[in-house]
Amino acid sequence: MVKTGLGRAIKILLVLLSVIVINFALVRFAPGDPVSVIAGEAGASDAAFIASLREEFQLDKPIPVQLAAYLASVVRGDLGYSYRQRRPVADLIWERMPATLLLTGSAFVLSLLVGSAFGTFAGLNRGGWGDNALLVVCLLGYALPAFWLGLVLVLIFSVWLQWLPAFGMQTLGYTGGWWAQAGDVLSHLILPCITLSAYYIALYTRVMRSSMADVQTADFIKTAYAKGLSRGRIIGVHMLRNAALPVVTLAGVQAGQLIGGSIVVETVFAWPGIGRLALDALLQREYMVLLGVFVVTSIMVIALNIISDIILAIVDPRIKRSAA
Amino acid sequence: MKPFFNNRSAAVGLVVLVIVVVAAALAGVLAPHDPWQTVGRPLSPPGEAFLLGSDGLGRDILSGILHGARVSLMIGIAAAIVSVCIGVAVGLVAGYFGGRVDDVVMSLTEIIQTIPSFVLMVVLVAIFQPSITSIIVAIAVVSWPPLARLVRGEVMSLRTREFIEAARLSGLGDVPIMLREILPNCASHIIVMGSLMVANAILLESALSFLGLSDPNVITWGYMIGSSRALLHFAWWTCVFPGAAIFITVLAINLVGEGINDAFNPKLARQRA
Repeated sequence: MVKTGLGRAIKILLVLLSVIVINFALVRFAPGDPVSVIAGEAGASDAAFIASLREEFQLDKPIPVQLAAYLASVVRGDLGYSYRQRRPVADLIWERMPATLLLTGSAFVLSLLVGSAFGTFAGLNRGGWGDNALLVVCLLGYALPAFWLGLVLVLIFSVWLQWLPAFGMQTLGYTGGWWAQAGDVLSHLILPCITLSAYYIALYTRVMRSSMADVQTADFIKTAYAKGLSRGRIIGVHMLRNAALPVVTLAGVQAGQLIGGSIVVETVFAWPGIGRLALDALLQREYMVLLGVFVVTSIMVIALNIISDIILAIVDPRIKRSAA
Repeated sequence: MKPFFNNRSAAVGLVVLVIVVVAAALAGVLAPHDPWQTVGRPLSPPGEAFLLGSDGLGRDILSGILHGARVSLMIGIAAAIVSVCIGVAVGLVAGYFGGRVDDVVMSLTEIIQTIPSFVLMVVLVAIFQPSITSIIVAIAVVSWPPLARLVRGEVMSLRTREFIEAARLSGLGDVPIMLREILPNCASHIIVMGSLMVANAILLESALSFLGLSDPNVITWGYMIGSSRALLHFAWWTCVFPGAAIFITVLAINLVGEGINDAFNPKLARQRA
């Protein structure tokens, strides 16, 4: 357990290091040197400003020294400065973090719950009409471009039916108690959350379905029946726990894609999170912000991976709780 | 190939896919207008003047969809080919040599898989400027790891088999063994996954161009939706039709891919049914 823990820690450090190196390489080897890019961003090109930037980026030093300096600044939490917004990049990202965490976190939970429920149902009723219907739904879910699904949902539920708000996270100037505010945010959250979850619901449904199917024929399930346990208890305790393992593992792997997908979904719904920040940075060619988003989202993915490992350790009946 | 055509959904997928390919190939002839040209009243609803309506600049949406099919298919196929090449090379090397080489190569693969790939793609395309080449490269860079894992697994189970041993004893070198003896035995898996990669690449390309990261010289489905997004409230057709084109194309490719899978791996197909 300790050894695998150490292995994981080394892997995590390696991932972080490579993200930082990729970032560094992108800035250094992009067309035009970073100073001209940033000077362009800031809309200033006077000689003194450029000279000070050259100093800051230490462009006259050898590449390894530059890399070390960049590494040190990232470790300190310094992700650069946005000359356009006149604020440190880390602050800009930090401010947007809660919105993105709310969206990706709720999509993560929703897709896991709904996908597992669908998959369990389909796996227990294989070949039935419900199973077939769910397989078709999955097939459609795989082929839906998330941004388009979002727009179609807005069209149906906001424009035509007028049930849910089309964009933003809160109603402007909304006043009310804490509960009313929370309800307001929730009503804004529904469509983006469904949009972001759709693909993963399809994915987890299929994985859960096939792992339920495998588990049903396993020896320990036959033993459980032979022991005279009730079907409900067998499904609820013995099957689900084992069948959920591949889904939780996959969810950890997919966490990165989920966060990446939030860029698109936040764009569709004008959700004030990191993805939206990245898009604005993109439009204004603020590469430091974009690269900062890359570093921070990578760290978020690693955190989600660790969380899924912990869940796995709790759920997996093969891992003794005392050892974990 | 008989089982393929016995599979009704795969056959339907193939028919749809052929239609999309023909539309793409003959876009110049089939499209009623130049997709970039203002040819009528902006935001005309679907009807007689324009079958699928016109966008905010009075451009014909049907023509845009037909021309967009070219770019989507081209980028989808090219990106899939590049990522299949990377994935196969990495998987072969890791699986065949094993040991240290395997450790290093698979750690690298795992790192790429952990990094949020869409964000990396956005960063790559933004910094190297959106062009067909940069988009293909960016999609390929993030898409190869699953294939590399699959090929590695296959190679590992093959490399200790007798026919490989025999080839080695007959004096064949490592590279010829990998390419001539091992690779053909993984071909069916590679083809199935490759076809799904085309579908995925089309989705990724459309998402990039929806965000404004498309080659400015070509019209794409994602660009059409992205540029008309603000008009959704007054002119649903500007967003709905190009998106339906993406959805139908990707669905068709997935159906064909699953059909190929069932045809190649009949055991698996029976298990699933």
